[in-house]
Amino acid sequence: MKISKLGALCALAISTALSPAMAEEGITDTEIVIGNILPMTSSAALVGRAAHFGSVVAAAEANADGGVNGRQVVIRTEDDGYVPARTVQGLRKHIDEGVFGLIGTGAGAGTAAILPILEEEGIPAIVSFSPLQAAVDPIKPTVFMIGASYQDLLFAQLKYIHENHNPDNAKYGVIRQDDDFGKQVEEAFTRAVDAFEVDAADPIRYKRGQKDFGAEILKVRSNGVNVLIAGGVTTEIPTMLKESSKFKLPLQVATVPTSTLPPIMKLSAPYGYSYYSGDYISPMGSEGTAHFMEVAKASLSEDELKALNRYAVTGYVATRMMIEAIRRCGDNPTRACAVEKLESGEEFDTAGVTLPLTFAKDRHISATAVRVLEVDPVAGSVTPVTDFAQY
Amino acid sequence: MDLFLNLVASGLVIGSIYGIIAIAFAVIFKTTGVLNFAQGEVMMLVAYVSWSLGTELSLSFPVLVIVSIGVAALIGIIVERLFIRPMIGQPIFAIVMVTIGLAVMLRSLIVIFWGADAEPFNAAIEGGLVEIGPVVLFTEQLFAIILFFAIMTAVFLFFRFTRIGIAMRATAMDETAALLMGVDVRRISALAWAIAAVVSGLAGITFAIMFSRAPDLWFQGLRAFPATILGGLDSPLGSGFGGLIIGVIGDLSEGYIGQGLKEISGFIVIIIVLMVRPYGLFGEKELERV
Repeated sequence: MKISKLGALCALAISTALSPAMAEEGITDTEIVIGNILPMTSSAALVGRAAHFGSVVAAAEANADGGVNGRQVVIRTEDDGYVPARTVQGLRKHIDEGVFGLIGTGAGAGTAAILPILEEEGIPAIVSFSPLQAAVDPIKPTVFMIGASYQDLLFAQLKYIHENHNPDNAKYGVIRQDDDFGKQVEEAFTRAVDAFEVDAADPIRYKRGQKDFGAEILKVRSNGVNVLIAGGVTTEIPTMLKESSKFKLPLQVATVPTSTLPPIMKLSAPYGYSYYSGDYISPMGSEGTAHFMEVAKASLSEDELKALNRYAVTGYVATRMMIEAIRRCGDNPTRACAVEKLESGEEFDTAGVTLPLTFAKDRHISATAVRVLEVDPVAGSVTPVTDFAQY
Repeated sequence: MDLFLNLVASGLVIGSIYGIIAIAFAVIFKTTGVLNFAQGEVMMLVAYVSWSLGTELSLSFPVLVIVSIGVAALIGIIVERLFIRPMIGQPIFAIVMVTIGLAVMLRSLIVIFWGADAEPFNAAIEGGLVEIGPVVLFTEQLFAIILFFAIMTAVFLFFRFTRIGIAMRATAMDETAALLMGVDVRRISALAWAIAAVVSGLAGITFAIMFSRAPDLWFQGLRAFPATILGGLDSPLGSGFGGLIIGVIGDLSEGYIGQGLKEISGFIVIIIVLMVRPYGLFGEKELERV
C-alpha cells in the first residue's frame, strides 16, 4: 500500500515536471492570461482604453474559435494612470496574480521602467502601445515591438516637409515632454537638423501634465521657428496650435499619431492649422481595418465601440500575434516556446491591418515602415501623402 | 520688450487660474483648518456639470455662469454634509485623508459618467483676440484675469463687511468663542465648502474654456496648491496673489532661461519665501501662549 502511494506521488511529481504548462505562470488547463498595463485614466486614457479594447477584441476572436488549443484567452488590464511608477506596480501585480505574456506596457517612460523586470522574469511582451527604441535595441530576449519608433515617425514628417514644403529661411524647433517619450521626439529633431543641415532653435522641454504653452510658443515666435515638432501627447497638441494661432505663426507642424484621433482633431479644428502625422498601420475606417471592426462589433458594447481608435488596432495586432505564437506551441505552451515561435521568422497574419509581420532572432521589431499623413482637422480628414517607407 | 510683456501676460493668465483655486484652498483652511486635497476634483466636477448644462441646454454664457454657481454651491454643501461633517471632532489628519479618498472617487466617477475623451467647452467668451499694445490675448484669457480680480474683490468685501464673513473669520480665530457668541459653526463650515466649490468651479470652467474639458483637469488643483503655501494658507487674498506670482515667474523663467524651469521656478521662490516667512507671504504668524 505504502509502495503504491509512493509510486503515485512519484508519478505525480514526474508528470508535473514533464508538463511545463502546469508550471508556467498565467496558464491553467482552461485559461491563458494575457496582461496589459495601460493608462485607463488620466489624459492618456483616450489611447489606453482603446488599446485595452483592441486586446479584448483579439481575445474574443480567438475564444470564439474555441480558444487556444482548448484554453480561453483572458485579458487582464491594470491602470497605470500614465505614471511610470504605477506601470511597475501594475507589472508586479500581474506577476503576483499570474500572467503569461504582456501586450500593453505603459507609455514610453513606463515601458522603459519595466524592461529590466520583463527581462528578469522572462515574460514575453509585445510592445505596441508606445513604441520605444530601447525596448528592442539592444535586443531583450523576451521583448518584441511592433511599430516604428517616434524617431522614425517624426523624422519621416520632417523629411517630407523638407523635400516638399520647406519654408524660406527654414528654422526648426521642437517642444517636447521631459521624459523618455520626449527624448525620442528630440532625437528625431536632432537627426533631421543634422541630416538636412538646417538652422534650429534650442529644444523646449515641458513637464508632463502641463497644459499651458503660452511661454513656449512665445519662445518659438521669438526664435523665428517655422517648422515645429509639436511634441504633445494628446491635448497638448491643440493647445500649442491655439497659442500659435494667436500670433498667426506660419508653421509647418509635425506631430505624433495621437494627433489623428477624432477628439484631438476636434480640439485642433478652430485654430486654422493643417498638420502632419505619421503611422505604420492602416487608418481606422480604411479597408485594412474592416475585419477588425467586424470582430469588434461582435464582441464590444456600443459604448466600448465608441472608444476605439488606432490604438485599438495596434493593441489588436499585438495581442493577435501573441495568441498565435502561443497557439503554435501546441497543448503545453511555455513562455520560452512562445518567444521561440515569435522570433522564428514565420509570418503572423494581422487580418489586413498590415502586411504579414515577422520577427527574427536578431530583429525583435516589425511594422516599421512609416507613411506620412496630412491632417486637416476642420475637414476631419487624414490623407496619406507618402507610401510606406523605411526611415 | 514685446516678449517680456507677452510673457507677463501669459503668466498672469495661468497665474489667475492658480490664484482662484488657491483662494478656494485658503477659504476652507482658514475656516475649518482642513486642507482639502479634493479641491481640484471638485473644480473638475463643477466644470463637467457646467459643460453638460451648456451643451445640453444651450444656455447663454451669463445664464450658464449663474446656474453653475448654484450647482457648485450645492456640490460644496453636499460634499461637506456627506464627507466632512461626520468627521467633525476627528483628527485633522483623518479629515485630510477623507479628502484624498474623495478626490480619487470623484476622478473615477467623472470618467464613468462622462468618459475619458477631452471635449471643447464652447462658450460665447471664447475665440476672439484682444490686442493691448504688443500684448495679444484670447478673450477667454482676458476673462480669466478679470475673473481673478473680481473674485479677489468679492472675497475681500465678503470677509471684511458681511456678517457671515465676519462670523467665518471669528470661527477661524477661535471656534469655541465663536460658538459661545452664537455663531452656527456647522453652517459656517458648510458655507466655506460652498464658497470654495463656487470659486474653484469658476476657475475650472474658465480653464476648460481655454483648453478643454478633460479628465485631467483636477491636476490644476495640485499645481495651484504651491500658490496657497506661498501666499499663506490662512490668507485667501494672499493665496490669490501667490497664484499670480507663480504664474508670472514660471513663464518669465521659461521664456528667458528655459530647461523646464517653468515648473521649478515657483518652488524655488516658495523655498526662499518660506525660509524667511514660514507662514507664507501674507499668512499670519501663529502665536501660542504657554
